[in-house]
Amino acid sequence: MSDPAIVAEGLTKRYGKKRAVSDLCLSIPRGSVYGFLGPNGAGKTTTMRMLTTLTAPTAGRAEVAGVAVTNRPALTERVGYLPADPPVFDELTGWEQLRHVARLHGIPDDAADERIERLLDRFDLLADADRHIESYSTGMCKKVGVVGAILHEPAVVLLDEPTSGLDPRAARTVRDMVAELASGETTVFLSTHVLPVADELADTVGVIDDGRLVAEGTPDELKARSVDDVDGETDLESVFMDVTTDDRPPANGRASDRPDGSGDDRPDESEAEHASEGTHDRARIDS
Amino acid sequence: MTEHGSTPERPVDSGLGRPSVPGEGRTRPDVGTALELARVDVRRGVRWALAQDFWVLYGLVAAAGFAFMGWVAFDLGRTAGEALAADESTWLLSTGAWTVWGVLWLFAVGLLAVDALGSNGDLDADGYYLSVLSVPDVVGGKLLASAVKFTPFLLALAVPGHVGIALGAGQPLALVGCGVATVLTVVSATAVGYPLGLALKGLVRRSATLTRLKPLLGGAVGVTYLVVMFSGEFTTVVARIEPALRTPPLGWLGDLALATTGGVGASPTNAAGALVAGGVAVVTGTALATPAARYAWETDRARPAADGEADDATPPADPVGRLLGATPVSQPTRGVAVTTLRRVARSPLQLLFAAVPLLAAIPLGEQVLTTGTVPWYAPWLVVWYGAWAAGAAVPLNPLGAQGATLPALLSSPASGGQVVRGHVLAAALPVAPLTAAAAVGVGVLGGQSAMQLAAVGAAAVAVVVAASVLAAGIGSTVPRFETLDLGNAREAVPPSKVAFGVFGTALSLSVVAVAVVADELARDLVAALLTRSLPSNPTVNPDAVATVGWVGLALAALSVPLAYRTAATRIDDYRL
Repeated sequence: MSDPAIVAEGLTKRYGKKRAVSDLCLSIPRGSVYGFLGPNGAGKTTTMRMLTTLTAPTAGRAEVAGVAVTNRPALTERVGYLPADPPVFDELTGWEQLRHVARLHGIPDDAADERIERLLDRFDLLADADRHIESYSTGMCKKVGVVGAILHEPAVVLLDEPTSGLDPRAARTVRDMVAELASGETTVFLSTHVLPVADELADTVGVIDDGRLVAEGTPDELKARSVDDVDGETDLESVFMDVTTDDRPPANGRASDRPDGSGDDRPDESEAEHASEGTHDRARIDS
Repeated sequence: MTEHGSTPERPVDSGLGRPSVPGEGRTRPDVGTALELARVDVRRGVRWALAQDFWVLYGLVAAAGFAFMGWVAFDLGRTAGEALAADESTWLLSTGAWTVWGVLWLFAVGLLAVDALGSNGDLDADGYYLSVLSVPDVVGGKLLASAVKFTPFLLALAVPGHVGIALGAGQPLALVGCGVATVLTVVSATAVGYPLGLALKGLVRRSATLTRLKPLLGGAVGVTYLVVMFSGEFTTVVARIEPALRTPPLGWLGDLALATTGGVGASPTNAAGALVAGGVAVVTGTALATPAARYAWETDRARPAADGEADDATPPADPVGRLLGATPVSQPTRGVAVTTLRRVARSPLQLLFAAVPLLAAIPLGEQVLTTGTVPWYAPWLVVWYGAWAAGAAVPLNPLGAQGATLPALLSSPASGGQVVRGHVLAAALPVAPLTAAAAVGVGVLGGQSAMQLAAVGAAAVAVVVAASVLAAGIGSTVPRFETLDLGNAREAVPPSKVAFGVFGTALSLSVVAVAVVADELARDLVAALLTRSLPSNPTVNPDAVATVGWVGLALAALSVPLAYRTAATRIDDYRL
């Protein structure tokens, strides 16, 4: 069996005294899709940033595509990353943006243009490719971001909420693209709030809460072991509700009003420590 | 019940495909609703400004300017008041006050029209407001908010002058006329200027040509305004239009302002005429504001042809990219340079910060034009400005300027060195030749020798490139990620204030070093200045100045590779 595409052992990130990710262990096979679920502020984005060298771990180690996450120059050629906020310049056209990304990756213009045209066409964006991105909808920006993440044909792709803001057709295209990537040798690390997407695509699902991986397994295994099966039917939502808690003190007094913290998933220390006291361990699934 | 004591009216389906809203069909705004909208608008505006450090800084500078002008006005007023007490007259009391009040009214109308034409004349959440409130109510809120926002500027100029008159003449009642005139000026200028701006906005939105030319026209108006204000030509312009300013009904404002100041000879009839004319202007302008707002807000915007709906796109034209492709420049460096240049060209507002020192050059330009002589230091000033512009416009914030794309840049194989070289190329490609040509041109006009011209030309290119590298080093060390709202839905990420300060200081010292090394007159001037200003007045030899200049140059030269290495390492190692 070949080496895993992503390996993490005791991966931890602290911001001062605050723990964002704690003792994370992962082993994700090549050519698979790993669905990464968790509430807002659970540590998903921090984990992805550590796996792409954008954030330095406080402790532990990780390798992506056989390269340590401390070795940015070697790793950047092998990973593609789509942040939750699409990385685009409003002043450029879609095509100019993607050519810029291609040049950062050292791809010659001719080869880049051929790939860009093919991918834009696939995402139904070719007719709008010469319009400035400032006139694009959220979904169109997201599509440009997705194309930019896979343009250099990386071995591992990390996608943070790739289908949010997309219409059903575009979301379908992204899901097909993820499935197609994984059918080859590409490994996809997929963070999403859309649980049916993870259910459909992921070979393995991991749930992170308060910085800790609280459940991991295939979607079927997780659903089969869910303790919240009242009516005999289970889905990932039941699993999610079962293994994550909603007991963190809300910032504004209302638990349901947490902001979409895609870029800020730093729980405070008491929250992270509470999570380590066994509340979640009883739901851990050792598959 | 609402806060104003009336039952809220709900939108009613008129059966015409669009729900009717309360008050539809009338032109007079509901005062309670307008007040509430204005209150929220003013509060949001104040919080918007206070939340952004650069606008706070700008506000402080503007406040200092107004304080100075207020002091000048007070001094003029007190002198006039004292003259009045002595049964004499001054320019202010004979004609000046009438001219000043006419200028204030015209200025207010112009500024309010520009305010309405810009983003302040738009509605945030327009779909919401226009579906639950009537247009007259919304317009009423906008008019009130604008009047409130502009009142402090008018008060800062008018009140000190009349306080001076009141104190000088010993007539406290003089302030009553000033107060009434101020209120009338604000409300009538708002009622005239704001609808005018809204009508212009509607016109621009309906015309693809005007939409395309709007940034250019706006820039031209802005530059003209600054040149007039900073060149000292403002008084010339006022003198030209003075007869019109004193023509009724505008000329009656001065009578109203001085109506309660005894002994000036202000006409009570004219003062009453000002009140009547002002009232008519307010009623008419407020009534016209509603159709003007509809004209501006209820239209499909014309789109420039360049943004048209083409078939499938083709690879974009890329002349700079092709040019750089013919050089040994790497793909990542080419990508950064081309993208940076495109962004600057398409969003020139971010050059605003680099342009600020140009204001100081306007008086010099005027001096050159009026005297026909070019000071010896003018070419070096051009070099300094070129270097400043190159550094401040592009490389002074290489990390922060990436915005949301920073993760993509950092997780790409582009090295820090390649990114830095891309930014330096983007700055130096357009600025270095322009600076060299301008500096040499100014030197030729100043009659400098061929050797001096060669020195300034070579220095221009070298200093621009070096300054760009220096800026990258400083800016990557103290990056700024916070965006600055420039209005009109435009945002920029300016360099940090520390970066501006360090870069400006380092650059100024470097250019002084170059100047004293390359130019004998500069050496003599610095030596003389040092001799005069140092304690115990030692005689400073120009040769010693040159030696210090060489040392400074050596340090500046050393700082360039150090800055390059710092910037490259920072970008390579940067973590979010």
